[in-house]
This record gives sequence, C-alpha cells and structure tokens, in this order.
Amino acid sequence: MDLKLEEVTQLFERFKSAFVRNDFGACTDVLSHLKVLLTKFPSLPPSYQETPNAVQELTIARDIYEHAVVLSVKTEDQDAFERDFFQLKPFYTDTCGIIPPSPQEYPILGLNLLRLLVQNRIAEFHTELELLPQSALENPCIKHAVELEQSFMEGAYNRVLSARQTVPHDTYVYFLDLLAKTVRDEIAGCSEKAYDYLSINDAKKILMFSTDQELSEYITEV
Amino acid sequence: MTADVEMEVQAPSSSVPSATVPSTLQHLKEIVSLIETGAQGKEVRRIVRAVRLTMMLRRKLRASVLSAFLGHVLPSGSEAFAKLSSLLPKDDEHDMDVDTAASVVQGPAKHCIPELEIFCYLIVLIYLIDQKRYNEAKACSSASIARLRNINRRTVDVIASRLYFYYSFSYELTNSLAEIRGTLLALHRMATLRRDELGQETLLNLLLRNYLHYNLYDQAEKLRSKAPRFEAHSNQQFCRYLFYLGKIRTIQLEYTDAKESLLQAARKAPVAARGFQIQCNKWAVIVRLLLGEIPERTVFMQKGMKKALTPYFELTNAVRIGDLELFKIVADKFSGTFSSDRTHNLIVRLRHNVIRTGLRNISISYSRISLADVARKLRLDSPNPVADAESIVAKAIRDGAIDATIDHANGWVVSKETGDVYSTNEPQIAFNSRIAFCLNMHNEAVRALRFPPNSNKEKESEETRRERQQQEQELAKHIAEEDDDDF
Repeated sequence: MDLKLEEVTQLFERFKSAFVRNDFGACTDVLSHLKVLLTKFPSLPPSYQETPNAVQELTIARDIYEHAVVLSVKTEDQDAFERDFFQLKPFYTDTCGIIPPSPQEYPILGLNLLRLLVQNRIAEFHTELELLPQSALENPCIKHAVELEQSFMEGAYNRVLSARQTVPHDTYVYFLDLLAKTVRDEIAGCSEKAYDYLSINDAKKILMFSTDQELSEYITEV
Repeated sequence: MTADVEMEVQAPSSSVPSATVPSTLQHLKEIVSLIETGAQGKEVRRIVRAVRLTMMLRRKLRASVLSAFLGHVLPSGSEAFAKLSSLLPKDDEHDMDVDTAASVVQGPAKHCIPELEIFCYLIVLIYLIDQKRYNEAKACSSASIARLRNINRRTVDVIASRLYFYYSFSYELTNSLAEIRGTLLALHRMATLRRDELGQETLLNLLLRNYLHYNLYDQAEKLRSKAPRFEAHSNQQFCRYLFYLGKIRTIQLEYTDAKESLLQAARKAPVAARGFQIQCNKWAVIVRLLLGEIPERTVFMQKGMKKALTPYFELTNAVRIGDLELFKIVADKFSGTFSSDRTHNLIVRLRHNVIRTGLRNISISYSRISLADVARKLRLDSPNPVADAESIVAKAIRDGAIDATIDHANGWVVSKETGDVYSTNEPQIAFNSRIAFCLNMHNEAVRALRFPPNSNKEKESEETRRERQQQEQELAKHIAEEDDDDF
C-alpha cells in the first residue's frame, strides 16, 4: 500500500470514530482535509487512470463521500448534501466495472430523491428516477420515496405523514420532518378553498396541532 | 417502388446505351459524375441528389459491385482503397454484373477528390450494415470519421452528415453507444466551428439519442438548451429533434410543450416512417393523458398502428372511466410492453389522473355524496380511506379540477351547480386556441416554401432561363421525394 493511501485510510478511521461519537465539528474538519487528499488520487473521476491501486482508491473515496452525504444530513445542511451527492454520483454511474456496488447505494439515492421532493424539485426528481433500473424500484428505500411522491401528488397527505413511521433508514427522518412542514402548508392551502367553515377542533386535527395555541400561532404566521 | 421507377426514368438521359438495363455499377458511376460536377461547381444540391440516388440503390449493392466500384474510383495505391477493400467480404457470388470485369480493366482513375473518397466510405458502410457485419461496419465508420476530421469542404458536409448517422447507427446496433459520445461531441464542436449546419443538426440529434438511450435526460437537456439552433435544413432531422425534445420535456413534467413537440413530430414525419410515428403517438397519448385530455379514438385506429397502440388504447380507456382497479389491471397486463417502451415510470404518474377523472365523474353525477362513498367509488385501498378521500378531494378542489365544497362536520362533499358554459369566456378561449393553431400552421407552411437560389434575379437570358426551369423541375421532384427518403 502506498503512502497516500495509507494516510487517507488512517484519517478516515479518525473520521469514523468521530462520526460514531456524533462529534460533527471534528468530522467536518477531518472531512475537508480528506477531500483535499483525495484530489491527489489519479484513479478517481474524472480522470480514471488505471493505477495499480485504483480499486482501493475508488472504494475508499466512495466510502468517504457516502459518509460525507450522511454527515450533511445529520448536520442538516442541504447545500452540503447536494455538493457531496454530486461528487458521489460518478462513483455509482461510472465505476460499476471496476469496483463492486456499494450496499449504501440505494439508501443514498433514495435520500437524494427525498431531498428533491422536499425542495419541490419534481422535474429533477423524475429525471433521477429515470436513471434507475427497473430492479431498483423494488428496493425499499427507493420505493419509499416513489410512493411518497405519488401520495403527495394525489393529495393523500395523511399517507405522507404516516410514512414517517415506516422509514427504511434512520437518516430519512430529517427530510420527512421537513416534508411534514411542506405538507401542512399544502393542507392549509387546500382547506382554504375546500371548506366553507371548519371548527377549531377539526382544523386542529387536520393540520395536526395538539393545542389551540399552536394553531392560532400558525394562523397568524400564515 | 419509387426507387426503381426513378432509375428507369433516369437511364435514357444518361450516357448509357439504351436497350440494356443499366447495372448497379453504372448507376454508381452516374452518381460519381454527379458528385464530381457538384464538387467542382460547389453545388451542394447536386450532392444531396447523389446521396439520395445512392439510397435507392441500397438494396442492389453486392460485394463484387462494390469492389469493382472502389477499383474504378479510388487510386489503387491509396490508403482508403486498401482499408475499404480489406473490409469487404471476399466475393460471395458472381451472378450480378456482366460488365464488372470490363470496368476494372478501364484502368486506374484519375486523382480522387475528397468527396468521392468519403462517398466510398459511406457506400461501403451502408453495405456492411445491411449485411449485418456490424464489427466491420464499426471499423469502417471509425476510419471514415478519422478521415473526415481532416477534410474541411462544404461540399463534403452532406455526405458527412449521412456518415455520422451510420457511424452512430453501427455503434447502436452493437450496443456500444457510450463509447462514441466523446467523438460525437468533438464532431459537433467541429461542425459548429465550420458552420456546417446540416452536420450540427445531425450530430445534435445523434447526441440526444445517445443520451436518451441511457436515460440521461439531464445531460440531454443541458446540451439541447445550449446548442445553437437555426432553421431546420432537413425535415427528417427536425422530426427527430422534436421527438427527442418531446421526450425530455415529458420527463421534466412540461407536458404542454411536450405534447406540442410530439404531435408536431408525428405530423411532420413522412408516411413511410411508420415505426417513428408509432413511437411519437405512444408518447403523445401518455402526455395527453397526463394533461387530463382523452385522445380521440381515431388516434388508435390509424392504419398500421392499431396493434402497436392497443396497450395504450386500453390504458386510455381505464383513465377515461376513472377506475383505479381497471387501471391497475391494464398496467400489469402490459407491463412488459411498457417497460420495453420505457414508459413505465410515466404510467405510474398516471394514477393521479385516474383518480382525478373518477372524482370529476362523481362530482358531475352527484350533488351531494358522503366521503365514505367517494372512497369506495374510487376504490382507494388504504387503511384510512375517508381521511384520504377528504384530502384528495380538497386538493382537487384547490387545483380547480372539481367545483365543490366539503362539509367536514357531516362528512360529505357538496358539488356546486355548474353554470352555463356559454355565459363564461370559456368558448372564447377555446376559439382563440384553435385560431392560433390555424394561423401558426399557415405561417409554417409559408415559411416552408422553397425557392431556387437565384430566383430573384430579373432579366435572364434564354440560356439561364432554361437552366432555371430545369432546376425548378428537379427541385419539385426533390421535394416530392424527400418524404419517402431514408428514416
């Protein structure tokens, strides 16, 4: 094993231990250091040089970016998520011949779909979906996101909210919480048009508030 | 067979002695002289004609004819000659040409112009593809592309654009399209720099096809939106472009634009290109369903398309009735067809429209209905159908699909009385869109008129007038033929 690879591996171990401890500050620091080191690997996208260490380099780089994506979810940073995801994507699309597929692939792709849904970028959602093979749609992580989109389009909002109980992966919770907020706004918009009148109690139930106070706060806010 | 008729008419006017039916080789020689005069006079039109004549000969090509032809046209020592003859299969049968031997003896041809060299590549490539020798075809096309890069002549462009097409086609047949993406991009850049608009058009389409083959809609759209656009030169390329554009827009949920492109593509496509029309119609049907329109029955009953469109017909039926159960059955029944058409994901999107139509039917037929009944009629199979129905109805009301209110306390939906449509400006809008369509059609027809290059010159001598008339006749024929051409 050559020196650079050695260094990256060691650093990555440190990152992982910090990651397990949920010390996100340290993680971010190590990560930015790691990313700089990764630029020195010639076998990574976009150059794909066939070096003797290519397989190890690609595998570890992919692993690092996967962790980076998950980290960005945990730190609730959507911009970082997008950046890291785009860095990770070439590994999924263009390295299938070189290294074996990652077990994390579908959870992360599903996460990305969810992000697009939350940000209401439906066109991109469908563009990403087209890239997936038929078999991927059977995967619980992908299926979850696809079904969410459907319920969302139909207007079956309570199904969207109940999806939170059936998350296939714990990182999904963050986006589902965000989605819940979007859904509440949607419901409010629909109710405005659909009901002539609505009692406070019913409104509370429909908009999923537990107290009258929360409801009145929300009403004044909107 | 327009091709044969055409050739018969041609024969007497050329130098071939009458009575004998002209052989393929002689036809090829005529084409060569056409190319030569075209190249000397810098008349692109002649070369277009030459290429079209070649396509008519396509089915008559034999290895023996081709090798004789190569011997006739290319200098025997040249690189192209060596390469191309090595690719041709060594003689199958000698039945065809009586005069093959004679023409070879005619001796080495004079200096070979680049147009002819490229033409030789093209004709060999077509032959190889027709013979299903795809690996040789790949080798041949790659060699020709390498050669093309070093030639910069406007008169080559026409032949080159055909060559690009077959280049990509040979790679598609061997399922290795991804390999040539870089080359195609480089060629497109080169064509843009040289202002070769036909080449740009062809290459842009090939690139879009390349991307869409791998479902890379994002890249395709980025390229499409940034590539330079201009008046289309070739109807076929324009049809293809519209089709790809329609596909991209469908995926990105711009249904109205997608519908326009797809329908236009289907309408502009020549009658002979039935496969293409079927594809366009399939996509157009789905897009219209997604828009909430129901395509007319005549769409599915078009000649020669009935069988291919059956799955889509049943799908339309399910959407029209608004029956989720039936929709599911149809989607399952034809899932094989839908996934091979790569429309599966679009079908999934349709579920929403099925519910909408069902809801609209209910709201028209009932003035008041309980939510539980709505859920049952829509056959929503979920743990909490009433709550689902309520939010679905609420969303439909907000989106303006139905005109109703919900009474939450009593749990029912009350439809509002539908007023007289003619008291609104609905009819006006409908008229407006139809008038706009007609005007647009008229404008496009006017724009599509073609005039010979020097028609605006006044006062012409007898000589030039005769020439002009001849040109016009050719042009008329050209336009008539174009629709039958390639695809």
